[in-house]
Amino acid sequence: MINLIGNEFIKVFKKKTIYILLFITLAYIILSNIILKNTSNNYSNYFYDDTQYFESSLKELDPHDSNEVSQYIDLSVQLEVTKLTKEYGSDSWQSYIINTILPEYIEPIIEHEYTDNITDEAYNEAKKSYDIAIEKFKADDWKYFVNQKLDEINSSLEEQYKLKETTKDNQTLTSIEKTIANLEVSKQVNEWRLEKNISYEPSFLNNALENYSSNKTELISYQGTDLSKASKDDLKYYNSALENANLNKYYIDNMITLKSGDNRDMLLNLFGQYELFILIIGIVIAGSIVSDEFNKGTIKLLLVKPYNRIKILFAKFIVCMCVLVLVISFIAISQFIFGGLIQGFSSLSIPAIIYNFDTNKVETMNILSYICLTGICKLPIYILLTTLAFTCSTIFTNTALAVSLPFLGYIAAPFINQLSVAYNIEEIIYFVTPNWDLTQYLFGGTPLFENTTVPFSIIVCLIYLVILLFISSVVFKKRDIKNI
Amino acid sequence: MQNTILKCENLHKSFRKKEILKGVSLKVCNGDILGFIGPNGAGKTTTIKLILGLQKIDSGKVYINGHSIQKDFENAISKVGAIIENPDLYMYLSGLDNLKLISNLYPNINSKRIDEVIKLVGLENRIHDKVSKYSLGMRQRLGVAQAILHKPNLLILDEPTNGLDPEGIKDLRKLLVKLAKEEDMGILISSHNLAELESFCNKVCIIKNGIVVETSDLDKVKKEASEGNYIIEVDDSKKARIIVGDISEADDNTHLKVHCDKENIPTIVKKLVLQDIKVYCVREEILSLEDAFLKKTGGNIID
Repeated sequence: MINLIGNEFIKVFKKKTIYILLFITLAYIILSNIILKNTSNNYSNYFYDDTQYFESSLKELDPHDSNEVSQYIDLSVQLEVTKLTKEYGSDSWQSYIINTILPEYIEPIIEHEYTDNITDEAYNEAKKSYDIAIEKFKADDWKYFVNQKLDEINSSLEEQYKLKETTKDNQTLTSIEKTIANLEVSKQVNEWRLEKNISYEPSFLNNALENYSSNKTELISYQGTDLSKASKDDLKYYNSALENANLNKYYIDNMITLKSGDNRDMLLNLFGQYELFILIIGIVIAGSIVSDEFNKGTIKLLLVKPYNRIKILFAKFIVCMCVLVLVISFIAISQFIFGGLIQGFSSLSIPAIIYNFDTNKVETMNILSYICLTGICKLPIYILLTTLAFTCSTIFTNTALAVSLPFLGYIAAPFINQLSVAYNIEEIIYFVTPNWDLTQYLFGGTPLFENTTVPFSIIVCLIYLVILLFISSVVFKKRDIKNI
Repeated sequence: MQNTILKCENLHKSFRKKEILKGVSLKVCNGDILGFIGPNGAGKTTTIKLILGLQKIDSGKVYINGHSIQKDFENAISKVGAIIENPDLYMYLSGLDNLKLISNLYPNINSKRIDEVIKLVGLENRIHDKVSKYSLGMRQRLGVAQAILHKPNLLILDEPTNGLDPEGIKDLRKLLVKLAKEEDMGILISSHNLAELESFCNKVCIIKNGIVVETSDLDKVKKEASEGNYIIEVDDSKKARIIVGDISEADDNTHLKVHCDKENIPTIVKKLVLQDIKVYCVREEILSLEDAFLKKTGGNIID
């Protein structure tokens, strides 16, 4: 049996096919790392300099015409904002303030010039705030604005607490409580800014703060709803908000900056990035390993050797499985080496960070363990599709068919799952597609269908594997070798 | 001492109701070279595939070295070497790699044995080239090499002379005779090219439409087919035919073919001499294997 396996290895690795496929895979890995290296961080603000458009539009408007004055003021404010943004740069912290707070000051100043709606007092106040803001911009003092915001939040909070004490109506009370919760989140975010020295400048941590606050807000909106009765979609949104809020909090707490598409990110998403290549190589080898012998006539040579046909078939199957494991290792190692050479190894010092729904905690995991864990969970997909190719190869003795059928299955699988979810076909849980991706159960995740569990899924996958192998054994054992 | 190596008993095989083999029996002993002869479509290759276990036997039995191919495949096949149809080898491997693959599957084949076999079939110079670069003749030689690598005692060759040049055929013939004699192998060799088999087979089995028409020693086949035929060389065969009568026919102007018992020949000669016919020579007709074969099978008719 070991001799047979050895021979099958020689046959596979002496063919050009596998080397061509591995070379293409390697080229893809290297190219995608080069491309990802050159794409800078994606937190930059979108900025388009449309000063000229505003200026020309303003020329056509008459500020003294009562119909056009409001539009004129609007455009003037926008022009001013754009000019200032341009001055400080769209990726500066100032830009954030200019676009969020400053229009409140600019508008009264301009409005005062053309209308009588603004009192001198209000104008003076706005002018004063505006001047201070510009002064702080120049002094690079973003903390001033954070403190200002905090003061605002604190006074609002005080108000709300007072309201809460006086209100007796339950419905109003819950709405007040939600407002308080939201304010507390904003307060927390701004306190973190001061504490962790995170300015408004676009960065991963700034983004994390914003994400944290938006996800936390979403979680607050779910307060009071009974989650056990919530719809599947609601539950999905809730879980995603919960995960994101916790993960972003972890990043801020530990001052971790991640970059998407770096070596670490690519390694953690290895099976998402390179799944197609794993499948192509696995399926091409398995789809041709039996049928090629038939097509070339060498099967006769093999079958007159003193080995049972079943042994010959299983030697081939074992080789297919080994090729699968080798390909996965090849891709992981190539990504590690070439990703490291191109993008640097430093990102690997940060472990995998995962939110666990079972313990409601953020957990860290060694990158290698994480890859192994997800790999094992993804293995049923690869094994079953490879085995399908292998079985088709023995049944049809036609390589083209044996290679294309598993790919059709791979493409169809998400559609089958989605259709079953949409039409509530519960029987689908006995089919292979909802079960073969075990990553859905990882870290307390909710599976696609409620009734499936890890042991159930494994058993279903095993049953399909045994059926496929049984069919190919019977066909191979009984087959008459016709004239070739 | 002759041992039976291969014994087939009453083999039947049908494909979709069409009966290909209708009870084929044959026997190969050590030292035998059995020529398995039949027209195209007679069932030669099917018989060989049944013997080798490549196709299921409908009814009948095959024993190789006393082991049933149906019940004890691994033992039965272990001392068999074969080339079926074309020598199908792995084209993307070198000749040596092909032989190494085979050697891995049998115990006790060392690299010395591989070298020995390569020398035996005369492929020393090209053994490191890929098989895809070989000519058909060279592939046949490599096919023979892989078949005899594990020192089988039964060699089954299906149309081995296809694509070989005359010299290659001569070499193969020499090799097979040597193997039969020195290694005491039993060889089953199928062909429709009778002229080639004639020179080195010692037994023949003639098959037609799935039935064995004849199994016997080669000399006996030829003898039987030509029994009682004599050629008399005369100066005027037409005249002589009138004298001898219906038992004779004129081959051409000078040869007269007579069918009679050996005892009657002197009488006929005497008659001819008395009638002033010049008799130059009298000889027994010797049929080639091909003529004997055609006589036996009655032409090349396929169902």
